[in-house]
Amino acid sequence: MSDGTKRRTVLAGGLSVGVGLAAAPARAEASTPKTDLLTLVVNGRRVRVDVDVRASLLDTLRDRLHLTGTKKGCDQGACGACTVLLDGRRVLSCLTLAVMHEGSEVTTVEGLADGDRLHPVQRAFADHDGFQCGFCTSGQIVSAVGLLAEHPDLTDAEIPELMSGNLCRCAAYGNIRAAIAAAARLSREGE
Amino acid sequence: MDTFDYRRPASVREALRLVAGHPDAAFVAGGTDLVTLLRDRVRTPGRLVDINGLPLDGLRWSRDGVRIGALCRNAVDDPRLAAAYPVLVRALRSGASPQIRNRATFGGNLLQGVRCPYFRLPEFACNRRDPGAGCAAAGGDGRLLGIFGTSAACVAVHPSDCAVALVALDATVVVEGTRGTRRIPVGDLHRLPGDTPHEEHALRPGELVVAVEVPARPFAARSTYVKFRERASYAFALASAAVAVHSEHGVVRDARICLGGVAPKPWRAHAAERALRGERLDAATVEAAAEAATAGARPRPDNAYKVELVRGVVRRALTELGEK
Amino acid sequence: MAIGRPLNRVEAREKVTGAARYTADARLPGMVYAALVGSAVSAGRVRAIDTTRAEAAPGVLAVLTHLNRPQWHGTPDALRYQETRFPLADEHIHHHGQYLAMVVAGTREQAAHAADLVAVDYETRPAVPTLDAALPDAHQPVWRFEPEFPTLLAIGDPEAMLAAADVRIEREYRTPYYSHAPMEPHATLAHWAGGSLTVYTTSQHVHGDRPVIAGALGVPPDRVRVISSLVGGAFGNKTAVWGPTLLAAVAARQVGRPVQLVVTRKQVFTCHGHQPPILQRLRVGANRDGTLQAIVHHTVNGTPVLFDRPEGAISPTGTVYALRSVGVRVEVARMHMPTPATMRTPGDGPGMFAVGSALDELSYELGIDPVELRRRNHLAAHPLERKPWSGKQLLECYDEGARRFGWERRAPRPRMMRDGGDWVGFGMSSAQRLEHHGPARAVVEIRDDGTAEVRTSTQEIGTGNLTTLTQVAAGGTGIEPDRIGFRSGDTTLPESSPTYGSRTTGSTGTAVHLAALRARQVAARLAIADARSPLHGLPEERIGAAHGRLYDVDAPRRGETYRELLRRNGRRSIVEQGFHDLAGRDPRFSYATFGAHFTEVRIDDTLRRVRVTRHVGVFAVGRVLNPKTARNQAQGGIVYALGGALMEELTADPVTGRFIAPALTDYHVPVNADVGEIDVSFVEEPDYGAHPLGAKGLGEVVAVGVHASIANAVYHAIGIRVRDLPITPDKLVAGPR
Repeated sequence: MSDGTKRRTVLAGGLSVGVGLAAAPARAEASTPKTDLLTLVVNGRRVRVDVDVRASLLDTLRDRLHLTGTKKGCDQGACGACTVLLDGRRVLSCLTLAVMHEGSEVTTVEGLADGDRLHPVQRAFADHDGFQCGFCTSGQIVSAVGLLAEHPDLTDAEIPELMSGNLCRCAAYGNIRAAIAAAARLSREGE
Repeated sequence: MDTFDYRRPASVREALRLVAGHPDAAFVAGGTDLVTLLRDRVRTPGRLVDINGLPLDGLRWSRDGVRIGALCRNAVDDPRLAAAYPVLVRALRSGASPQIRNRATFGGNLLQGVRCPYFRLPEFACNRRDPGAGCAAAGGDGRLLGIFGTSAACVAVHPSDCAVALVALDATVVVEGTRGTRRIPVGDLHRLPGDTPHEEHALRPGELVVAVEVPARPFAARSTYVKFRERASYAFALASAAVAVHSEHGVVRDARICLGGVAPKPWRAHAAERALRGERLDAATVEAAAEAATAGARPRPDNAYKVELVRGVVRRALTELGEK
Repeated sequence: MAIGRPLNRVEAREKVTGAARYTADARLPGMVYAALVGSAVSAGRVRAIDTTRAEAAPGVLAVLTHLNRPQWHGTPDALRYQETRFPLADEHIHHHGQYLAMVVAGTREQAAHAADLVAVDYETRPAVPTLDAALPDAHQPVWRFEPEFPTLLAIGDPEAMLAAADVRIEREYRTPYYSHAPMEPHATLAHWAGGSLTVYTTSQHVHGDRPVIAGALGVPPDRVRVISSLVGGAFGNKTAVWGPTLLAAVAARQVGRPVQLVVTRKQVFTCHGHQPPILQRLRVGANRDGTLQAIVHHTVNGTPVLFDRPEGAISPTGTVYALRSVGVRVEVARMHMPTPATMRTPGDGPGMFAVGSALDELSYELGIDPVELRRRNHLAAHPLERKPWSGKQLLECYDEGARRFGWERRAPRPRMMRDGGDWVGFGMSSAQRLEHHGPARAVVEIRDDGTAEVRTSTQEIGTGNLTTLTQVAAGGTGIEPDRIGFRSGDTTLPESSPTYGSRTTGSTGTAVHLAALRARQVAARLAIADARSPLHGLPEERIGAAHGRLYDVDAPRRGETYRELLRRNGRRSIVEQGFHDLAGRDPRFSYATFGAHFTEVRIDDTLRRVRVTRHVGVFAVGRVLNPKTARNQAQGGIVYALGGALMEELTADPVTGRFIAPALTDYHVPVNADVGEIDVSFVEEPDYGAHPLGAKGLGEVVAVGVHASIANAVYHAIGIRVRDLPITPDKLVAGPR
């Protein structure tokens, strides 16, 4: 324990000088927020929005475009709840700044259904009970849609690894796999 | 997060000009690591130079190997790459998640921050983040930390899988600066912490990684990557091994063994390579190499288990190659 | 019959299209954003706090600290308010991350940035960082939930029985800090209008939150409305009000605009509950024939410095197996830790890990098969209540589980089953959870358009309760589930039971059931009294209901729809209330839910990580209302516990006690690829003694015993007994290869 005590002193010393951890670095002065006028094509619609350069694509979709289907589970790139399709590929919208995507096409969970007709992956998730609380579901579904596009010949055995970027704390994993497998079969037969 | 000056150059020259004379400027490519570092205030650039508009993606093949653009995404799916450099493709596919691989780039992957919890939490003292602040990890929980190449000032590990494979393939990064082009072996890109852990890599201020060159080597095609982690997927390595072996008439002529998850940089296990050269890749040789791979390990009590993991990943990778 | 059908969830469409609204999705005109500042030190005091730069930052509307916060009213109640100290109460710091300030600004980015600019000058004191460091402080807690949740108990003379037993084992088991880690971070949107407050918040009990919020703010409860319909997972850490909800409410009043506060993931991990580390010492005595003679179970868990919060890990000790004597003692030890919160399978989860592991260890000492050992100690009655269990099909669970699993293939000793490079091991455990219940109210309305509506304040946290309760209402009214609407998650609705403690099915379910039956009865009486009704004059017991229609059970073609009946009588609707109270169950019995787990693990000998390749769970929970949602919830509970058994640990810095992995990147919960084949089934026998529906709680019993089942399988596979969860690879490198 003596070791710990010694180190504690060092650490405490470091922190108790004036500005603690919140130790805003010297240059973190209150500077004027910078904004940028951005054009995105979201779910097939062209939108123009003035964004703070610090805003993530996720916050821009949710706060500015009011597309709240895409969820913020961690803001750390670790849960997959914010998955969207960016120019057709699944990405984490929390890990990228909106300002970096001038002209990009973004598809969110709201853009998958064709009017009242659910996307086959959405239908499969509903029928196979591929969720419980539903908070990760938008991300799971968009990720699955991205997965099927990446792997048109997806086998059932590949699904667990290729869906491991989407956490489900309720752990509906078995049903999620079943739903994606069913949607994959459907899309293969459809061709 | 404080605001910053956001720039999106259209050429490498313009990109270099935008960071020249701006020590607080940072390049951003995939952003998959940097954005989290900004959010946690581990990094606080005053200018962010977005290089996604630069023509630095794609693969270019030649007799000498392949040149991979720095902006090539980690999701790269190229049969020729998988055939020529199995270790690289396996390392890439073991990294992060499909969503992250779709954004993360080669250049960014190499230059991502270390995975030390104390580095990533500004509440703790960290010499790498704040030079001279001290190292809270030294007296902290070290189960995930390094057993090779660490120092009193820093015990962090570098998390890249891709870099470990690239070192095993004798790859080189191509770097552009205002003073021209340089080539740095990937094995020399990351610095050991010593007394200056904040000097993380060999790039000079203002330099930009534009490509990775992977040479055609006799051992490249017979190579593999074994990654061991706490859960089945979507986790950093507790230990990993990139292994490549070239044999003639059943005898190993040349080999590369590089370890991940155990050192502040991809850790080349030279002694293990020596244990292979001139030998048949049988069980005894595998065992000798696995043991030699631990040479120089300086674990602490809480991460001593990683020594056994090193033996395990090397043994597994060599066994796999031996069966080919 | 709607009950027992595998219906899709009623909110499935909203959830798959992104239309489902969670708290952080709610928006109000003029809404502004809040961000919190947490303490960088674990113990000490704020010597000074400088908010001038934050206040000058663009868009900032207010910065609250302990120096300028509005006055709190009353005393915090650590039952429905999570702590004993209101937020920003004073300058004292009791744990790392403790909230020291809140910033309100025009945009999310501005609020987060301004929070960074708040500068704190700390006076730091040494922290008690770990349970081991705290052990000298271990003491019997000040605790007011005796005797339902005892902390000290003895039956018989355990010490004498231990001494006299043929075989004794003495072991120490540990569980680490666990995080609930729901996918949805805690969020609040607070809005004042005309002296009334509306709070959208992530809650497992809106009616429980309301008096807390009203009390702290000094507002009459009827001026506070709490809304929480869909919750993105909770697992216990949304059972009570957390400080930031109160801060959002006072900030909204101060700035005169709706304030949204969504905490960061780091803050979820730090300041919104966890299960503290628990040390369990277990001494077990048995005779050679396997009959248990005594268990002495002492536990110590970490508790915050400000109040005693015992974890009831002794709860299974005296109630799961027949034994002649029991001694339990629960102690707590003060640490500088953030406030814990009840976690899925409170007490029973960690407790059954210890008891289920110890029984397994005993089975090897005695040379008796683990299932057989449990059979020999089967308990027919609750030993404290001295009443027989109602609906205990535990023996059937063992039989069915062993059969489905193929338990007979188990080798008798460890390290005897190999498959290529893998060690293979089988383990098992019992599961049990006492069936708690509480008061609940619900309203069912049958309308003249042939539809119905259920109204009760329950929250949908993922358990499928909106669906199962709709099915209950359908069963009671005879109206098809797709014609039944549901309003929930709002204090303007009748008070349901909270959505924790596996209470919804039994308590709220009974309330809905009774309301539906009453509404149907009122309709039937209307028909009987109505000369124009084909059912006119029939005795009430001859009237049945199905497909939205009342009919003569002796002549089913005779009848009419609710729609026809109500319209003809000029009735817009029939509205009836159902109430479940504690007198609702048969007093001659004791109640619990039961189950058995069987696990196969595989461990690669070269790279030792435990993979659960097969798991069989069989449960006796009375009647199953919806097999689709029930099976899903059971699989989820098993995986939840699997995470705790194999990978989850909120690692604390040994010097400061600060959590070093407050991120889902590092706090590993199971991913899709971690989950093997999970076979869930039910020994289904309605338990009408427990509730009129015959259905009991499910969400927790499914996760009890999983830790032990896995740890036992690991020992069987590889001969290493891990008594210190989680069973991570570092604990498996030693030992023979």
